[in-house]
Parts: sequence; C-alpha cells; structure tokens
Amino acid sequence: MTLAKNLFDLNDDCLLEVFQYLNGAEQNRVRKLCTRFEGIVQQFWKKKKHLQLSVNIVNVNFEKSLPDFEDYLAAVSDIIIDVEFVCEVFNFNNCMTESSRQLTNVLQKFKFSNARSLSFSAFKEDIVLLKSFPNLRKLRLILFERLLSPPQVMSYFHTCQLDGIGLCKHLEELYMHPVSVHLYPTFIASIAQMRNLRLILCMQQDSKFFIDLTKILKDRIYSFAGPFYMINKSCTVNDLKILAVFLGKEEQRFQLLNLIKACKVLEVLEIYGIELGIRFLSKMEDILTNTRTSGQPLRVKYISRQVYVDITRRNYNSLPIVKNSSYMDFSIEARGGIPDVSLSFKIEFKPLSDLSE
Amino acid sequence: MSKVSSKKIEAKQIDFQSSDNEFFNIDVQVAKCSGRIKTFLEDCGMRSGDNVIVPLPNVNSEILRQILNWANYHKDDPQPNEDDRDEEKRTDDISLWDAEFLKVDQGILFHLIMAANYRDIKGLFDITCQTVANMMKGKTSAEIRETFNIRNDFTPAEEEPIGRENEWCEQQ
Repeated sequence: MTLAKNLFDLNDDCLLEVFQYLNGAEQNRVRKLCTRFEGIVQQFWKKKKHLQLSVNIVNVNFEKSLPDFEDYLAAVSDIIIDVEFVCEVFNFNNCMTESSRQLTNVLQKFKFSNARSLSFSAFKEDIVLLKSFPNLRKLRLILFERLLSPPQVMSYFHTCQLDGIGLCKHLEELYMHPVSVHLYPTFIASIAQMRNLRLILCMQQDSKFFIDLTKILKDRIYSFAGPFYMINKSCTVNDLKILAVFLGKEEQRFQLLNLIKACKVLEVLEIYGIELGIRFLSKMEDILTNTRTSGQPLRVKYISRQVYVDITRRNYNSLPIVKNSSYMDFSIEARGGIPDVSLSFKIEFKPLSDLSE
Repeated sequence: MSKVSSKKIEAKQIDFQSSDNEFFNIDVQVAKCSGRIKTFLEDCGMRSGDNVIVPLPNVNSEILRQILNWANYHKDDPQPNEDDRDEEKRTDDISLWDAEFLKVDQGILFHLIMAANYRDIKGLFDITCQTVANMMKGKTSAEIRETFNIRNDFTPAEEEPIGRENEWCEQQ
C-alpha cells in the first residue's frame, strides 16, 4: 500500500467505490477529468446489463442533462442486454411530452445491438424506436394513443411515422397488449416476416387479432391456450397438438367436439370452466375412435377452479368415475402453473426458419 | 468472510504495531472490524495467554489511532450483509458520529480509504468513499478538478466538449 496524499493516489478499487456514490451526470463529469477516471467510469458503466429508459431517469439520475445521458448511452448501448422503455403515459403535461420527444430523438441515434429483451410501454409514435433494437428476441409491447398533445408535437410525430415493417427481424417471443394491435395494424404484416417468431401472448381476449394471426401463420400453429369462443369458423387451426380452452357456455362443449374431430393430431387437451358431463365424454370417445390417426390416446385434463381434477379417481359432480381408454388418457401429470385461459390467449407455432431447413 | 470461524479465539487483547513503531493494545473484538485481521486471527487460532503482536507496516500511528477510534465506536454494530452490495448507492446515510469523525483533511481521508480497503474494514470503507463522493456532488468539472488537484492528461484531440447546451425542458 502506497501512501495516498491525493485522490489520484487511490487505487482503482477505491476510486470505483467513490464514483459509485455519484449519479450519472456526476459520473460523466468525473469521467472527463483525466484518462484514468475515464477508464474507471467506463468500466463501471459497462458492468450493467439492464437499462431503464425514461424521462424520469434523465431527470433524476442525469440531472435533466440529455448530453450526459447521451454520453452514457454511447458507452453502454452495445453492452446492454435487457431494456425497459417507459414513457410516462399517464402522467404528462406539455413539458413532459416535449421531454419524451427529445428522449425519443436521442434514442434514435443509438443501436442497442446486444439487447435481447425489451419491455416497451409508450405512445404508438414511439414504435419508431424499435429500429434501435435490431436483435431483440423477446418484446413486450404496450402502445397507447396520444390524445392530448400540442399540435407541434403531433406534426413532429407524423413526419417520423414508420410502417412497422422490417422491425425486430429476429424476434422469438412477442407479448402484446391488445390496444397495441389496433393502434398499429401494419405491425401484423411485420409479424409475418419474423422468421424466428414462435410465441405470441396477448394479454386480453382479442378475437380479431387472433383471426389475423391465423391467416398469417396458417398451419404453423400447434398450440392454443385461451377462451374457446375465439376459435370460430374463420380460423383454421386443424394442426393443433396442444389445446387449452376455457368453456363459458354449455353449447361450447359440442362445438369443442367438432374441433376435436378436425384436429386429428391433437395430443393434449385441457378444459377449463364448465362441467364436462358423461354425454360429452362418451361423444368424445366416439369421435376419437373414428378419427385418431396416431394410435396414441389423447391426454385429457379437466381443470375446475384452478385445480387439475383427476376424474378417473374421484366421482365428480355425479359423473361416474371415468376409465382411461385406448383413445383417452385422463391421468394427471405434474406440470407447471395453470394458465389463465379465460382472459388472455397464447399461441405457439413453428418458426419459419425451422420450416425452410 | 472466512469459513474457519468454528475455531475458538480465547485471547481478549492483541497488540498492533504501527509503521512508526508505536504499539496499540486493543480488544480482539475491536480488531475484528477488519475482515483481514479477523481471518488472520481465526487462521492462527490464538489461545489465551498468547502474546500476539500484529505489525502493520502500511499504517502510521496517526491513521491507526483514527481507525481504532472508529472501530471502537462501531465494535457492536451488526455485520454488514453481503447481499446488500448491489443496491443503489446512497449518500445520505452517514451517521452524525461518523460525519463528525470524518471532519479531517483530505490526506487523512485518503489514508483511511486505503487502509480500510486493504484491511477490509467495510463500514469504514463505505463512509469514507461516500464522504469523498459528497465532496464532488454539486460541483462543476472545474471545481472538482481544483478540489482534488487532478491534472488533465487528455490530448486536445481526445478532449470532449464540456458544458454543452442543455436544451432539456426545465419546468417539470
């Protein structure tokens, strides 16, 4: 240990510890003092893999200084893996709107080339920012309509509108808020071009979006979980292997039988909501006897009040105890949490890139 | 932290020898504020009656007296939790006693940082670093440069402009 008479005499560990107590703007000020401090601050900045982007971060952590924030982004943009973009959509005034426009402007200058996951909650015009995240694998998208902006801000956004096509080419998983879909119809077209996309989860039942998706994805969809009514006649999902549906009405039981008839390769069926009834079960057995091609029994699960019910062992609501047959297998297997199929829907499908190989 | 804490330490007092050959007889409990000395004591498994002198060739008597003063005041503090390390650093949690203790000139402060870092005295390291950081807060680059006497070694080509216009909307 040498004697320290000056700040500069401290070793890098100690200086790093000191600089950690400074906010982003202060760190940037220190960074510009000498080459050694520059190296230490850069090293500290580059340790972080998660980045939060919001007007609030600029205000609080960067003392409202966009140039300091830009310096920071320049250092970390190609390091960051996980990004959260939050536009203060519920708490804005004209000034906030102006700040978020400036932030959008700044972010457009950067490419977050290593960012794999993005949570994006913003106004629809901000979707232009997705261009800055070319290598995303997971995207959580919530877009809002901007209703109360001053005209000069609106006109700015009209000039930078983007059609959404060609964005997020490497996306694998997409989580959407339904509002987003209606605000950005052309995004559907870009979904068709995402060659690695294999999962879409929509946080609300939205049958129009689902119909659009079935038209794009056609026979690639192999798994559906959601309310049964969404699969109506205009959707062809005959290649389903996994089906988890919420039945809200009694007549849906027999519509479901028609779907089972059409889905000859179905492997797993989970039924939520309504009671099944012995007539339903015997009709299902008949249908399976006549349509199954795989030789394997269909694995059926019944979920009552968020609990898997083993109807081969328990007499359920005056239903006689059901026996497994060569076409139906009711034995319960341990598995993860029970999805909420009454409100959201999730589809999984074969990625285009797999099909072309 | 050391995994050998099962070894019994029965000695109650030890001696420190500073770089300028002054001896300090202190409680083992106080000495163990230093993670490094704690490990050392546990590793050599001292027994009662042993006359242990620990030479500290890097610390002069003035600094050692300060450190022991601090350690004596904090000897009953709960052990810092390693899991807390990732939390955002805060600069407003220095106790009154510590703030008073740290009203020393820069040279002593830097000595304390180096000693606390080298001897692994976490609590002292945190507050001393925090104190230096506080001396930078609210200052311009020029003021920080002057306060800490930092020489600019950037070539003119490398140097970034400082104090660019800040167009950010201010009234929020």
